[in-house]
Amino acid sequence: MTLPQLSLLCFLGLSLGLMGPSSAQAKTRDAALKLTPEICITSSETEACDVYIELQWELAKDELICILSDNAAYPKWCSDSVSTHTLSMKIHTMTDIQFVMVSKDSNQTLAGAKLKITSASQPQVRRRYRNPWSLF
Amino acid sequence: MYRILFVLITSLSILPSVGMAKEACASENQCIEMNNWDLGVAIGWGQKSNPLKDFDDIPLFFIPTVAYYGEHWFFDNGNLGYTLAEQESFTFNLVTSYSLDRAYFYRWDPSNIFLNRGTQIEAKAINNMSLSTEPEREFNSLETRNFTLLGGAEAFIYTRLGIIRLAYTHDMFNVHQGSEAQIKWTYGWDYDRFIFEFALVFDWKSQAVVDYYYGVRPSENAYWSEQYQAKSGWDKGAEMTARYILTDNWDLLLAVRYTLIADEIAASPLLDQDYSSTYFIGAAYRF
Repeated sequence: MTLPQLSLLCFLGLSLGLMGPSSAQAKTRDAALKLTPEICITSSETEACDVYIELQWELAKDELICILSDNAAYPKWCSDSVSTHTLSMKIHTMTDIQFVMVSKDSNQTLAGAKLKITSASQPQVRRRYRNPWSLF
Repeated sequence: MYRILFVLITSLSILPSVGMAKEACASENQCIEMNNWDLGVAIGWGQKSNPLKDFDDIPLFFIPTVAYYGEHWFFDNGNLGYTLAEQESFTFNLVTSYSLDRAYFYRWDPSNIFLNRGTQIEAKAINNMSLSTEPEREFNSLETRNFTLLGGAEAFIYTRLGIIRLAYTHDMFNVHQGSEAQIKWTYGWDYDRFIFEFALVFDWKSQAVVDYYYGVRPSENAYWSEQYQAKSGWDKGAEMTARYILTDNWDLLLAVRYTLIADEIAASPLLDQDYSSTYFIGAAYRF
């Protein structure tokens, strides 16, 4: 197993831990990760999203953190100073990216944020009120 | 005569849209693409039993589905509607519908589209001996039961335990001047490639509706015309639809329905069954 694959595996494990509703609530109570913007709209489904994003975080205590993503193009980044609370980067992607903030020392998951990619050309849908086969 | 239709159309043109939520589509099976015709046909075999005395059961070979949903307007298998409010937990529509009762009398009623033969046969004299002192239930040719559209309102309430539909509609064309109401609970679930939908249905029909369709006219039988006095009543039914997704376009389809006809309607001498059961099994193609 290569290093990127191992990193991805670790990331998925961390993401699953973050997704659990009870643990997510407990862990995000004191730490928050804010992503701006959260949505990137492309003009077609085949077009990639190019956007500058900013990650901003708040912590319960001053500590160094690392930010991981589920996109191999954006490897793990760690802060060098406890006074750093933002990270900016240019994104080029066709799929959603999940970001996870972890403690640099304990590797404990602190918070997460997701960049959603959506296409303006996706068909609009609404509720259908009747079963298609209820005519008879 | 067209007062209700006028009120309906006037309302639609002046009422603003109230709270149209765009995200209100929970699962793909409950969604439809806006501004696009949804067409399909199911081919197979089925039958709807006819509770009318001396009328044939109704075979089913094809079931079409035709729907178009705009931002507010929608047309869905013969029902025209306008959505006034669409929220995560409820929907409120103005809507038209048609009665299913006429379908027992006429082949080309919208409920019987694509049937291969008529449902009405000449009234037959029954020669069996009867110990009853009542005259035989023999009728001359039945008078026309006209088609009409009903107009009114419907509300859907979305809960974790399914969808509740409440509807009230009234005859818009002065055919019988009656009203209908419905309380329906629907519960759907998916499993792998299976999609199931189960429903319990309670249909109320006013005295005018029951009398128009199931009352006996003097020309049909003078005695029974006097004897049977129509009253309002509740039909009770259960429906189940199961689909198995074969491809993006093809599904296997099984649909069954059982309706217990209201006592007040079943008492009509035109009926010799107090229920109607329907089943259909086949393959459905969505264009």
